[in-house]
Amino acid sequence: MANLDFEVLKEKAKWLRLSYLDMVMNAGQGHIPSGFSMVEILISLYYSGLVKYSSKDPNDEYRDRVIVSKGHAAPVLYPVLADLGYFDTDNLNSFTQENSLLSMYPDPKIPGIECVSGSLGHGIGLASGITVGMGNLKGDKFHTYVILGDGECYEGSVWESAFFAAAKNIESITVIVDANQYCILGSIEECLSQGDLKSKWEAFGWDAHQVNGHSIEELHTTLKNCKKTNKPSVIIANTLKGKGVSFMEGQHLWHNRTPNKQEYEIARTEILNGNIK
Amino acid sequence: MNSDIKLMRDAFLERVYQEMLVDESIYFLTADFGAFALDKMREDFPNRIFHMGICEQNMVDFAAGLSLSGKRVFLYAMAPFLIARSYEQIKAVVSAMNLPMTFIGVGVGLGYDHATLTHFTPEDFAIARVIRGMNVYTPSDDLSAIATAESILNSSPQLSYVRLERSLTDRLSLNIKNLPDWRIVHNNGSSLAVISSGYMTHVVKKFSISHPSYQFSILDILKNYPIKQDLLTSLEIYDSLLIVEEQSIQGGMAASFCEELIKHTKSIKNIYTLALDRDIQIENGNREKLHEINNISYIDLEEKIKGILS
Repeated sequence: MANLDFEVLKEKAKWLRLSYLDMVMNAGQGHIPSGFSMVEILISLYYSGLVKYSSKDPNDEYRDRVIVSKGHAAPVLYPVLADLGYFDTDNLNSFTQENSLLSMYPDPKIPGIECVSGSLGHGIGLASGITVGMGNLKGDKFHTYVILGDGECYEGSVWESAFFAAAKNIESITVIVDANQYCILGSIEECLSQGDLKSKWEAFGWDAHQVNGHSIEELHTTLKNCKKTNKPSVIIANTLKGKGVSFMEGQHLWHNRTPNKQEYEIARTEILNGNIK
Repeated sequence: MNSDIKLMRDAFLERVYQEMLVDESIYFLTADFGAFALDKMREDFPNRIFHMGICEQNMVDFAAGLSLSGKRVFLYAMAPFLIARSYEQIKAVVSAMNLPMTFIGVGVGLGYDHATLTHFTPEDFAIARVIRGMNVYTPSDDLSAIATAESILNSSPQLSYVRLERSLTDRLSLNIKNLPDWRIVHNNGSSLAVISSGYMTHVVKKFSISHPSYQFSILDILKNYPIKQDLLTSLEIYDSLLIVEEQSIQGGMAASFCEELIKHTKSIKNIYTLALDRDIQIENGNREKLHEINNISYIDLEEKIKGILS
């Protein structure tokens, strides 16, 4: 994409946090901090010219696939999909409500969503199956992006599928680990340390990178480079759960809490005035 | 035993092989489990047969991805490690997206008799049938295995679990074309119907031959779940039903029949069971020994039938 203006993309990230906050406030339920930690990842994918999306034909064979394997945070993708024309933005107001298009966990009934998720640890296996089934090991037709959580990396099935994708040399898959440092009960480091996650992926045969997951510039550059390798790629995106709202950042108790009106106003102000780096 | 008789796994896989010759959308995944018929498949379709490693969970997620890309997928493994090991993948990914695919498990029940509890599946029917959309089949010989494969290949796409006996078994009938949900393999009056599946149908059949004085009929259930109304209706002619199975009574075939009878407000008349219990007894020994210590032996069968008929 020519003349990529990262300042514009940073404003887009603010818009996404606000949109998602409003969705959850309307619904009275949702996972705000897990969504906020992956905002810059989604902005980089969808608004910096990386993802070849097809909102007019969501089933286009040549579309890039984005699978949010950490399904509890996937609704933060809904405002993006609405913005790109997959469905009417009015749907965001009825998130999780009766007869709504938009559910708490993603479902392929929603245009732009590839797979069901919510139970953790399935995204890479699904991506491998889609890629092999479509005869797309080298990415001639499309690229597949899978977003995992660092908590999700506790799942054994993640490593089964990592082993398989490397053994089959599925180079058209890029995994982005939203390493927001927290699971439900506390920090990853305190609950059950994962050690050096990047080395673990490398040991499984992946081309592994580590970036500041709130830097759209870093994400954009690394994601672009991942498409040039001849192995499956993984980016450990160092993020912070709840990023953008001071009282949610790194506070695991906010995992599935909804703000009250006063907290909502503070959150809005902080997002609007914030300068995320 | 007729020398033409094949292991059920070879019979089933050979039929799938035939279909792979004409349908390039069929993919076959194995979790490090073999068969003579699989060797030929691997040779002739190297790009559509995947050795998935001993990784059943990834195998199911991978199969789901293949299915999403329009492929017809068969997943093959030893029964104890197929459904149970990947239960969440089947429930939360495959079933949740209504993806059609066929699971083939070999060695159901106490088929791996010397291997003890790690390899037994006294629960595989119970856990399979509660999965949303799952069809459960138990062929009882090579011909019914072929008919099961035929039925699945020719039906509209569905989620299926095929439960195969590990050992070589006699044929219960000389031919079987279109797979029926059930068949009568011994017809001797309406006082008692003994209902069974797979290996246990052979046990009951042998008993009927060695004890001709007991008058009972044997119904071999080939499609175990869902149970269709016409099967329930056909049971109405019998005074008593005895369900014999190598499954736990908690959730097994007997439980499934009772549930369906209640659901369809059929009167539950004299129903008896000969089944494993959740607290299955484990000892070294062969299948007969295991039947003996778990009260589903020949002697138990005779006592039960004698008691019912008297």
